[in-house]
Amino acid sequence: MKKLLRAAAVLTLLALALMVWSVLQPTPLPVMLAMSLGQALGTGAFAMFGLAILIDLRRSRRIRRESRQPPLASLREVLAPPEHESPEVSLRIPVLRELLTPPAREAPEDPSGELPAIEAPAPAAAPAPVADPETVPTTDRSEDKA
Amino acid sequence: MPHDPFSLTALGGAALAVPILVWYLVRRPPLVRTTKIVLLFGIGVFPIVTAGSGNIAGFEATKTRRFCGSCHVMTPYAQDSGDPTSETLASRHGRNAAFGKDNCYACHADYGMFGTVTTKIGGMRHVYHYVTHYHDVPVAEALPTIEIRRPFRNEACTRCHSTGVPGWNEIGDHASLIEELRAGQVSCVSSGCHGPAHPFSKVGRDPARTFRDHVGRAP
Ligand code: HEC
Ligand code: HEC
Repeated sequence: MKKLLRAAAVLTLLALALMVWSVLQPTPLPVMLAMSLGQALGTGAFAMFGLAILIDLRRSRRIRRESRQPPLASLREVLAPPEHESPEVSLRIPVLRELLTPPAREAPEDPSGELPAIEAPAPAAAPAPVADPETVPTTDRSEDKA
Repeated sequence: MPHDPFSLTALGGAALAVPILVWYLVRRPPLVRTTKIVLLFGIGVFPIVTAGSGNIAGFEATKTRRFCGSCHVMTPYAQDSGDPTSETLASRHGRNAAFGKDNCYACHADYGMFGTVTTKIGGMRHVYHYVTHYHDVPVAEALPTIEIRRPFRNEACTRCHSTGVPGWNEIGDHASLIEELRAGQVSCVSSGCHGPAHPFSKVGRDPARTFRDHVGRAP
């Protein structure tokens, strides 16, 4: 990725050189080169830069996630059932959960009162929340959104 | 050294981007947030400024007589146009402040909505012929062989010289030929009228005639 960025920097320098040449000497060859090859090099370099930043972002996210995986994973099991088993996916996003909680809280037959909306679908999810390997990436993404 | 704002902006963008890029390549800083932001300017923002204004400057440059005259077979045309003592029609159109330095383009650009685009495509054909053929041909040998590809259209003159103004119609030949001129059957630049436009033009060739001979209908 370092290499990608260095290549992007070199290509940008080349593209800039073509552009400057065409501005200083506006004759057919430099102008045509700048407006075709220069354009392509510059755009390509910028795309490479974007790619490098994206790769870096994903990598640092993965590192952060892995370093705090175990506690979070268990907490999540308590708070939110896996996506495909829960009918109310939106409940796993804290803001929406806040919004959606009140009516459930008013339900008289609920004894705990703390997180009723989450607990309601919990029995359905009970069979195998951890055993299913599919659940790990799904819940991970929800964590990013949060 | 160019003075127009677009060229200067393009150079300015490059002047800001280059130190950043060289710094990154030489110092190899760690990829922390600050580095990323600085690089965003060095690879993104500043070069985009350069490309945007440089393209406009380049586009403008393609209209200038200097640009047209930079291929050696066109140099005599450009020299004649730049000569204040020359009597040719092209040269007399090279002195006006509004378009004098772009006079080749002023007369030779295609007319109409897509004129700019079709002119540029036509220009690429010129480049092609130059690279594949005329590049090594001496001027003296090339001049007699260079001809206009399509007959010169009267619209190229009348877009500036309206046929609707009284002064134009006061000229006897204009008034008597107005229908033929508008229909393109008589050319403004026929020899004997306003042509030929260049000292090297093929004398006696009637542009409107040429077209009819080749295609079988008026332009
Ligand atoms: C007044 C308008 C006018 C201007 C300005 C002008 N031309 Fe022309 N040009 C013509 C016309 C009209 C023709 C068609 C031939 C003729 O009648 O002279 C022509 C023909 C040509 C031809 C075809 C070869 C020939 O001699 O017939 C070339 C090449 C050419 N022009 C190049 C140029 C260049 C380069 C410039 C700028 C330096 C330029 N022209 C400026 C009007 C113009
Ligand atoms: C870009 C606009 C433009 C175009 C295109 C143009 N002219 Fe002109 N023409 C002018 C202007 C402006 C002048 C006055 C020149 C000046 O005062 O610098 C002029 C002057 C003239 C004159 C008088 C020159 C003199 O010495 O008094 C003639 C004749 C003429 N044009 C014919 C033509 C013909 C024929 C064409 C087509 C081949 C043509 N023009 C194309 C703008 C144009």
